[in-house]
Amino acid sequence: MRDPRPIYINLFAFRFPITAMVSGMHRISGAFLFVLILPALILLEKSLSGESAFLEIQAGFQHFLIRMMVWAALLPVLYHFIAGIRHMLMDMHIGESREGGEQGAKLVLGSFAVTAILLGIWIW
Amino acid sequence: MEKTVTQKNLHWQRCLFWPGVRDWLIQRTTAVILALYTILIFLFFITHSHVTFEAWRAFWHHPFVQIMTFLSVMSIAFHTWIGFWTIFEDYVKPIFLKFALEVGVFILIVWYSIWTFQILWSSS
Repeated sequence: MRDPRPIYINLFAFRFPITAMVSGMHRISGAFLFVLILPALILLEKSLSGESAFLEIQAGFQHFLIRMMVWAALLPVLYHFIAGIRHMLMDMHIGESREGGEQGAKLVLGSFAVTAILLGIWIW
Repeated sequence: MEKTVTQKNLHWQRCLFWPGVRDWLIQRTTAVILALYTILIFLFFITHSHVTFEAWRAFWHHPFVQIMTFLSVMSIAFHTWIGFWTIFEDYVKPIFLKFALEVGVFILIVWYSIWTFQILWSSS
């Protein structure tokens, strides 16, 4: 009898349609969010430790390059958020068909691009 | 007779505590909490064009924010654990490597959670 547990997936043996891309990027962005916890906690701890440390961090954020780094770091947050909403809509059987899945994936990429640009403008 | 009892139990377990259903439910519940928390933090920055140290400190010490932070730390712990478990299960074949990665993620989750509680509750 075949073992019913999930099998190991060899990523190099697949072609990636848009739905697989969107889903894979959800996983990658999620993993990246975990990496972001460390710098986020370092910043939070320092910013709450005293006013001088807080002002130091705030002054750092005035630099254009730092702002762009913050923007880049927030992109996986944004993507994971949007793709997560699609995930839960599909749980409710919305956009579950093959065409619906493709349209949903396009919608995720489109709204991600638009909100990413808006976020960039806001931070800048 | 015995068979009926087993089937009855199975039916009950499949509702909430069957590992797959349980993980699915935890992943969705924590996702909603984290989405709301993301919006909460976003709203703080949207409503404060210039953040002062006092406002920053007051925000993190506000009872509602503290409750949301507590829920979010717990949510991140579970959400991350299930997310990485799925990723490792799908893409990492060597059993020792998989085990080492899972232990590593577990240690980081516990460390980050305790650290967050220390930052926000030890010196308020």
